[in-house]
Amino acid sequence: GLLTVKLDRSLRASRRKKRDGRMVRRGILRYLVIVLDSSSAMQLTDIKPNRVSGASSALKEFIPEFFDQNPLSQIAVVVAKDSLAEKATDLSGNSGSHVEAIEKLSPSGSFSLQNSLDVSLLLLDPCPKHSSREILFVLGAITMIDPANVFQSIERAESTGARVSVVGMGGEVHICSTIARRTRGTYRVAKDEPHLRSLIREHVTPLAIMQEKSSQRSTPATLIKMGFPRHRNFSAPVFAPNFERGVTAGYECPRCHALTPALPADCAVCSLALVPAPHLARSFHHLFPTLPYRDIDDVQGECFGCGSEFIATAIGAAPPIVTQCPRCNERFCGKCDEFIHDALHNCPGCCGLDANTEKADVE
Amino acid sequence: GRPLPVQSAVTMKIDVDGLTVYFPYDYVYPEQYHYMRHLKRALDAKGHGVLEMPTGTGKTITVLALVTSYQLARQSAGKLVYCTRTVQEMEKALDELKRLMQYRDSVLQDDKSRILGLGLSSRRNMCIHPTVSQETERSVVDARCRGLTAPWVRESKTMPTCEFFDAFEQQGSENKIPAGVYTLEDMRELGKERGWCPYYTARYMIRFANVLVYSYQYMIDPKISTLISREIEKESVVVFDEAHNIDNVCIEALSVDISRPLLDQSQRNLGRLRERIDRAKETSAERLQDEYRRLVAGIASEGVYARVGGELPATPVLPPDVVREAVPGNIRKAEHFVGFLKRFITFLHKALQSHAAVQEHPRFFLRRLRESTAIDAKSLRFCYDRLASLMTTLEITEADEYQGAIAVADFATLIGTYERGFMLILEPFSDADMPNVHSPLLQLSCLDASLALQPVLKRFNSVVLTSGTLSPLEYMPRILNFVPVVAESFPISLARNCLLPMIVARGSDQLPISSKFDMRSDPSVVRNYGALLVEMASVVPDGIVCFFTSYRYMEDTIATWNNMGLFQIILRHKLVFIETPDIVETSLALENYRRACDCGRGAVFFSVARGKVAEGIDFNGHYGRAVLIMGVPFQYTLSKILRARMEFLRENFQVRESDFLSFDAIRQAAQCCGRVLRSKKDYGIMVLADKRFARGDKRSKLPRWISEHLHEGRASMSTDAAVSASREFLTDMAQPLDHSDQLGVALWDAEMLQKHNRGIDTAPSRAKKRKLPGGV
Repeated sequence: GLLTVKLDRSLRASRRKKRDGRMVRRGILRYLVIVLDSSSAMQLTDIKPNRVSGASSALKEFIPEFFDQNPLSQIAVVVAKDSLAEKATDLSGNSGSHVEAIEKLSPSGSFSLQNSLDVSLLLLDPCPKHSSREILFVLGAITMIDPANVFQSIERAESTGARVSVVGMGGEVHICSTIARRTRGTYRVAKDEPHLRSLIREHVTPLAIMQEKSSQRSTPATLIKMGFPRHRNFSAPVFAPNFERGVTAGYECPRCHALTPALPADCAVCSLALVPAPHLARSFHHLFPTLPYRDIDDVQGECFGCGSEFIATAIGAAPPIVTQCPRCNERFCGKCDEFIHDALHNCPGCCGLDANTEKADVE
Repeated sequence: GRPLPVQSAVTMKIDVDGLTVYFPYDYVYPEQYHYMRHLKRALDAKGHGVLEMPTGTGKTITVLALVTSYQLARQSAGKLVYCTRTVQEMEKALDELKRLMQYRDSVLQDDKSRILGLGLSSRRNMCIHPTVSQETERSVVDARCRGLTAPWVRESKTMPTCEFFDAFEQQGSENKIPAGVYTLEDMRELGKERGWCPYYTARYMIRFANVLVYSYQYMIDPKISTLISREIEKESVVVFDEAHNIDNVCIEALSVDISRPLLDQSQRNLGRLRERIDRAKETSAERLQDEYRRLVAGIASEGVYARVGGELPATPVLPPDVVREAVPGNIRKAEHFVGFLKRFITFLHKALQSHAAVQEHPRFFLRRLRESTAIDAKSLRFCYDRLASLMTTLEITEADEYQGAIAVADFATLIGTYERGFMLILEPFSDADMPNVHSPLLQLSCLDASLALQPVLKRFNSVVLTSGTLSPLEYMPRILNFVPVVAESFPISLARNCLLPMIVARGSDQLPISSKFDMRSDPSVVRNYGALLVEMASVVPDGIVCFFTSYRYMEDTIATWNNMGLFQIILRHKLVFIETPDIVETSLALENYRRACDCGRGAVFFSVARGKVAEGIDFNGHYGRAVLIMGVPFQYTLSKILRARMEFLRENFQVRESDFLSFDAIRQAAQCCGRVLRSKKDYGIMVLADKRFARGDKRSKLPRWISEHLHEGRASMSTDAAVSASREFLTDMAQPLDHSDQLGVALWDAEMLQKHNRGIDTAPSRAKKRKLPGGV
């Protein structure tokens, strides 16, 4: 009892550190290339059962969650082994194909940082300027066998504005911290399997755009045209551009009325970005984060979220965690707090507040 | 001497037992504070100290801050003389001093508190003369400088002189340079600006300086110290940084080697001297007459070449041993002296012809010498001064061409002066690469390290030896024959355990590993050493440094690994670079090693424990994540010099041979370990791979900052246990380091310091409490 509460608190403290209520510019149109190391170093078993299956299972969790939180974004997977880097999937929003690509890997040979970086940059090359280009290395190797000067590739990454992050294993490699620093990415080393999972999961939240760099790249708030297509069903197959056979259902571009079978995508005819409105709304919570709640000592009463009373988990244990929203002053239990900030991204109390003011406005 | 991690404009005043110490950083490490307290105790007691504090904890700034604040508080305090081994270390110390002074100026704003800090190095590093400064050889620069500045050159009005020296002579001696801190570069700048010779300006300013930073030799080597350090007052504090090898420096200062090529050169020198004497007789006979009269009248050294400029190195004998009497009659006349030297050289030539190794006490040598050539010790004693006087009289400036004669005179004076603590050793086959070629080397070896240091210890109130590796602390004072008032070792305070020392005693197959002579060529031992390296190379990212006990052993081992196929496996993980005795080759290898570490390929640097790399090269950060020491780096025990020295130590200082050997080996090993940990943010694995390290007599001699982290469980590991411990360590160390975690444990700000003084523990409760050094 006592131990779990203690653990809970320390976990919460570290999670809170990451969560801050400040509004920062974040790229919500993300193009992410995941480079999965499949060199022989991935056979080591310091991550259970071994590094490669630990990494791929973490990624299998990560990919659906990524699309859930960033519906407008796309992923590509590159697998690196035998000193080579091969594209496993193209940039797309289809989580199934990516998950398939990272299954059944057989690690062998050594890892080449330069080759994987070059392939990733090539994949990111056609992405629009306003999007956020990211590369995520999941890396077990500590020796980089490169064909030429890797610093040239790093420079190219820097100049195209791609941000390289690395989740490493086994120890800190200097070149990885160099590359992360220079491209404004992050570099962390996983201690064990849960840590690896959480480090990869951190990349679900888009990186903040650095202010000084954004002015350098001269992209101050650009207008991005987007269309919200209507879903239509047809009784007989109809023509859709880029599709060999006809389709019976699809999304109709609001500008040119061409059909697209899956979203999000660019219209094949007029290249308008097509997104469903809910996706856009879901991406927004990264930009307008829910305010962090503050801890309070008043433990009387019940949680506004789940309606249960605040009670200590065990007799003689520490008092339960109670937090309060600074805006609507409603109080929540620890579990609801977590759910609201990690999944819901909206404060129920404040929503009620907003609805009331709107109603008042109407009246 | 490395800057601390946290820097900003706000800094500290620390109260050290009633003394206000100005400290130019926001935070002070706990060990720095304790170091200051002990140092102050030594200064108060006007006694000597031995202080050990690991590298990367800011020794230099601690010493500078305390002593300069002490000078400020006590007017009677003398200079601070900070002796370093290399020019780089000197520059670092001066940079720290500069920073300290900037801070003090901003706080005190008082002209009286301003001090003069100076760096002094050889002419080669300081000269700004357009052509002389282009020379790279030290002796050539000295000689050419002499050629432009000798008194007779300037008096002649026809020969070219150095404009910078002339300008200094004319104005410099009256004008002081303003207070401040001058690095070598600053001195050169100042010299260019004012047209003064930086070298002589710096030497002149010594008497006004508050802080002096220069090389060991300027304090220890009598040839230089009598010229440079003569005017430093008794109350001064002398600090020897990185003093773990000071005994060897002392010994080298008083040892001379005579080889056959050197003798041949000296013979040619004599021929030239004779020619010049003959010429001088025709043109300026009165000069020789003058010299003769002077020598009859009194002491050779006085007044002959004591004038500024044109000076030659002074006598090699320590100040108290210099004889103050007239030069014996048989060497007063120039031609008699040359004849005397010739006889002596012929005798040495004969001695070198022997094909048997000879070890002989100087007294026996002198008796043989007297019997066969009728040369007595007293005349020998004057040789060096007599030669210097002759060269001055003959107006010889190109001293670099007379190295042979000078070395022989040096030898003669030393052997004529000292009987105790010296040994003559003749090595007929001295070249290790060509053991069958007769290449005799006659070594007059000083066995008593305390000899050269005694005058320094007697003259100055406080002499402090400090280094990262002085353990065991009672050893150094014993072999240097002095009693310190303060001897303390400070552990490193760390927020995380960023060093992992391990003793690997067994291979994965549980067979013991050791570099012991009868085991080292055993294939299973060599294979186990190779396997250890392969395993470490596969888990340690970036750079690994691997130390062997000798070049020979390194070459043999690598060749065997190659045959076993282990070398190819190492290459799969890391590139391999090897230190060679050639400095250019080694620095090229080092440069490429660094490149390989930078680009992620990773590399192993093979080095020897007593080579250049082990002493002076830092492998900070990713350049050295692990250091492997393959075997106990004992000295070559069959060396006659070492044996003679150990015998001497046993007879005079009651130091057992085995104790001395393991003391020496462990300090080398600790020095190698210290290569990879250069600051508190750094981290490194230290593998001592030899079962003999696990023995009590070796382990107890490790410095405290290593032994404190060497838990019982890591004191005798097998290869695979060490590898898995390393893997865990590396992952832990790769986690981001939070500044707030360090506060109170490894860093103190002013408030915490006060709390500590009132006896309150500052460490946050969640952090592990660490033991503070004794006496606190």
